[in-house]
Amino acid sequence: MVIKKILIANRGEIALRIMHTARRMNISTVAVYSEADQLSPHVRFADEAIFIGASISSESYLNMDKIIAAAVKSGADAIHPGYGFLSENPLFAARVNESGITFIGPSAESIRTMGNKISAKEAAANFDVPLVPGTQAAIKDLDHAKKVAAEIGYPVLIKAAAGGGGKGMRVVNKESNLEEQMSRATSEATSAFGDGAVFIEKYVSKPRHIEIQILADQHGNAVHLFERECSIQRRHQKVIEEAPSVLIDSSLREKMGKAAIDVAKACNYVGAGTVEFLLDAEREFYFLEMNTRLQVEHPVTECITGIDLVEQQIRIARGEPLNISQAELQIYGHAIELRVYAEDPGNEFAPSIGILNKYQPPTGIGIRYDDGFEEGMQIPIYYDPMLGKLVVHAADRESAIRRMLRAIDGFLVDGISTTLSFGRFVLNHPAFQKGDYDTNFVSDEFSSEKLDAEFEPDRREVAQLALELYLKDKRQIKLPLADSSIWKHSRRQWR
Amino acid sequence: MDTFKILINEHQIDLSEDDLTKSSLSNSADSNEHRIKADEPRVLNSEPLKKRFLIAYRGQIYRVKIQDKNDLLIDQMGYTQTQGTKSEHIKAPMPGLVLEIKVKSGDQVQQGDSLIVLEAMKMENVLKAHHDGAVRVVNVEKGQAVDKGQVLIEIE
Repeated sequence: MVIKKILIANRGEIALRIMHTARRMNISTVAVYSEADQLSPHVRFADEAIFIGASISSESYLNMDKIIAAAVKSGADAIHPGYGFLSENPLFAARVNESGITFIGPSAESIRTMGNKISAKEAAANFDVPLVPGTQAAIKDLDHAKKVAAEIGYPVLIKAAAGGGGKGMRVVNKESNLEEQMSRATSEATSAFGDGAVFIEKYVSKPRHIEIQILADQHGNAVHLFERECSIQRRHQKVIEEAPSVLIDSSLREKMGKAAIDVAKACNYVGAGTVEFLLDAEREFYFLEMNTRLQVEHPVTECITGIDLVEQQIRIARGEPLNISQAELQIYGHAIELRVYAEDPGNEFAPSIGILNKYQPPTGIGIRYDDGFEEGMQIPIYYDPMLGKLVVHAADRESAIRRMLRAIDGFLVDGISTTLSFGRFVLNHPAFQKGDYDTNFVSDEFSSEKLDAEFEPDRREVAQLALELYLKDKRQIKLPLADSSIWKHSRRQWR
Repeated sequence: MDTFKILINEHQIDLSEDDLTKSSLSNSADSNEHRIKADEPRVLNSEPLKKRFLIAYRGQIYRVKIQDKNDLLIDQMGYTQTQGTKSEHIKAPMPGLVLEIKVKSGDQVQQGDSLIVLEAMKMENVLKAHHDGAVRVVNVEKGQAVDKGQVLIEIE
């Protein structure tokens, strides 16, 4: 199958990232955009751009009719869904294929199986992949929920059956909180996924979130591209990811890799996918879910393997057999990603809206920054508040941490708060440096007071500098006959 | 020795001229960390007459305002403590959409009661009462888009 033109049914950094690979492969690109994104970089970078509607996602990036019509109009022979939006919507995949356009991703059937956590677990169980104890069917009502939660034992986790990205997910520590958390989870799930079904499972304490990247072609070949450690999360959403994981040795890596490939086989998976596991304190792993798309954090895997995952997705969609074998795959060095969100870590990670008055990302050897923003742009309130992904790659973990800290220090943003300060806190934290952390890191180790303390020495230095400048200036003003060259010299010092 | 109050991004640091001689910046030789040029603070904007400085340092931007003893004196004279009524304005912490309003005018609320559910960036945020009181007025309707800082509910 020939692919000459790809429409990217997404926005921001991921749209740009896909277009870069497409362009390198001599494939034309078509962007779609909403009202809020008229001037966005992904629109200008694309070979063509088609307006699809109002800013609110349901009128634009979630609107299948408009996106398929745009693909037909532009003559695109394939659609890449990116992540989020319609990427894991089986109806969309089916409708794209029915329109005679190649969907760059798995079949609608695979998405459907893995998109519903209950059928996903059933499929995985058939291949003897270990599962976290929990309900196999959606929870009907509060009484049912109470009964199930009591059976499993608190704390329990309420999850949206159609969920992902932390939406519609709540931890409940005691029965008296169950009702409110249930209704919040159901309502969030309804508004985010159009499906309010939830289920309940055991909340594993001290869990590490480890996921395995897989690639599977249309000819029955599948490989895994090792793990990503994604335990640094807030609101059950990842902020920092790294590969490889310090906890995983080659025998566990092989076992989890095999389990991941089994999960892919269980749903006849084709394309790039990610199988998520929880790893408990005893290093036992449990299948969580499979993400049937490209992940936000895919760059860390690209760094340590040297493989362009988007290129692989396109090759697989063209029907080519995998051009890499498991034996050829190796881990080179260590990579860390920090998601730069427009959020205030000092205020419970509340969204921080505003204009990017200053926006100067760092550059340098081993630094990759994937974004879709520019200085002067406004952060739109309609979409995910991620500015970009800061990724570093170095020979080993210690050097990667150092490189990330330097990259964070060299990243200038003004106008909004970001998770860059949080990143610095985490990477300086002894528990992170030792690799001894789990998904409770933020609640256990982080607070706005500790974040403040992290920056206190810097503030003091800046305050001293400001006072020096002020006093120097004051002394000069008191000397009306001061030589003008001295004036210039003293000012220049601080430039 | 004069002391100064330095206001720096919502924080306050008290410094005297004496502290400056100990500054590691003016004497980088005693710093055990090797510094390269990029590590040094950059003055983005300098307004010494207004005692205001804008300084970038290690990825952060600092807005600095210096107050000397005269400023502090003026502050003290102009400062009158008001024993305000215990009224509370529930403001939107971010722009968003009002998903649900759980109270109406005249309702009695207790500290911690949920008042309003606000959706922003696909997350639902429940705003709660900070102390007991009666709802004086609800300024918004369900489905309404609100701006950051907009007063949603007034409690007294």
